[in-house]
Amino acid sequence: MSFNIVNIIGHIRRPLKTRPMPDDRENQTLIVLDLLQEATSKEVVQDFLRKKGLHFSGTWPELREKRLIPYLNDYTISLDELVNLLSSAEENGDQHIFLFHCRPGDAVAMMDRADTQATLRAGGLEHLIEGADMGRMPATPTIVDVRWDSADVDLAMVIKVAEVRTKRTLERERSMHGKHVKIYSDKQVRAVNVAKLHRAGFLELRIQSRDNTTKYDGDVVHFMRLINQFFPTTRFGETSLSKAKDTMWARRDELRDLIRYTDASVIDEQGNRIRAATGSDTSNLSDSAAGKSVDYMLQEDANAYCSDSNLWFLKSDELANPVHVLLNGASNEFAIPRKCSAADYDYVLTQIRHFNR
Amino acid sequence: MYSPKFDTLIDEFPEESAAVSRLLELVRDGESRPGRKEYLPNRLYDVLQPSNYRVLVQILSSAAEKGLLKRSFRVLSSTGGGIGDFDSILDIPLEIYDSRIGRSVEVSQQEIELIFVIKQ
Repeated sequence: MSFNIVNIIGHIRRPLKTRPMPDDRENQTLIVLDLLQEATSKEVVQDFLRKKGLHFSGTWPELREKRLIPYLNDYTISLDELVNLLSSAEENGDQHIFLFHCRPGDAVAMMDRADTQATLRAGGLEHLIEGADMGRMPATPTIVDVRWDSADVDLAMVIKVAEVRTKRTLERERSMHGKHVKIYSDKQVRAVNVAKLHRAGFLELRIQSRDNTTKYDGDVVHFMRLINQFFPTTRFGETSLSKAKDTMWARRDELRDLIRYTDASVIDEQGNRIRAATGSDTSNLSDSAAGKSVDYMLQEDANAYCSDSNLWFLKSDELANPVHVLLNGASNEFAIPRKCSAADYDYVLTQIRHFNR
Repeated sequence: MYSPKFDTLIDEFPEESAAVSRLLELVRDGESRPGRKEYLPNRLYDVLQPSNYRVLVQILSSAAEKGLLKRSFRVLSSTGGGIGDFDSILDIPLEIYDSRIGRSVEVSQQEIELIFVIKQ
């Protein structure tokens, strides 16, 4: 059997259809481990092992050589499980998330399975009805998965898009002929964007973070254009997160076991700004004079508002690992800069939406 | 001061009359008090509450063309404050003197923000 990466990660959430021969299995294991290391953080893999009651300590190389490979070799864990972990991992964290709202009735209509399948057939994407088709490096941004999260009814519909980006790294600088030249190396990398429409009438657009920008307007427009046939843009409005920013900041002392602030900025209507930042990135603005200076501006000027926040949701019984969150950029945008588990992502989203009510 | 131009703005966006009315209130209130008033688009989205961001951009563009607001592009210093306001993004130079740190700096797109100013 010839090796094909699409075979490895091509049928997510279902067993691989063919059991590879030993040599192929070894190759496939190494590829999945490489992709897993690219796509997620060590903590996510450790969490996966911990939940299975297995040893989980160590650095990335140790996790790979002393934990995952031996567990795969003695079939304590299966390759299918790692493939599913990979799929989940690349959809959660290291993203800028944009929230939108629509009428719940519209959301239910847009999630209709028969209509969606008809749209897939009309768009030449009927193969996705059978399952995900996660091309490793598609030539253009491509819808690779359409699926539903269901209980008694469909609770959410997910559309996943894979694309290739160029990662640019500065190699060296040189002066020649009176000019100064910077030389970069380019590397093609896979990126994944996810749209998740919830039955309750809200939509998440998760755009994988870029290395070279903090502005994602263009990415959002392109992504919405690609999925417009399923989720028409005109049905949605942007969900401002200002209420969440204001509420969490105002209650930061009370919430100190839940949230740790490292930066907060306020702007008044004259455009003046105050920014409070902790000295160490492990400190907290709660109960600090710097934080109180921000409060003073908010109290003195009724038109002043929290513009940006940099905070951490702290580890708890409900959150397996601390999650860093940036509340800045567009009014409906927040970012989770590092990869996290699906459960931790859902926890953070739920908290932000709770404080935004 | 009330301007009949607001009527034409409401005529232009009849389904967004509430948002345009809030813009009128904001301008009236801003003009009634001393000092320059300026707003980032995110803030205007919260205050005006239009149906979506696309409509907000259309309303603000039309209001700026009618002279009800002034649109400006601000270059920010790495320290956070502004170091130059420009009427057009095309007017922004590749390099600018940053008075907040005392030297010239290259301007990157990340350090440019759009603001709307209420005329005094």
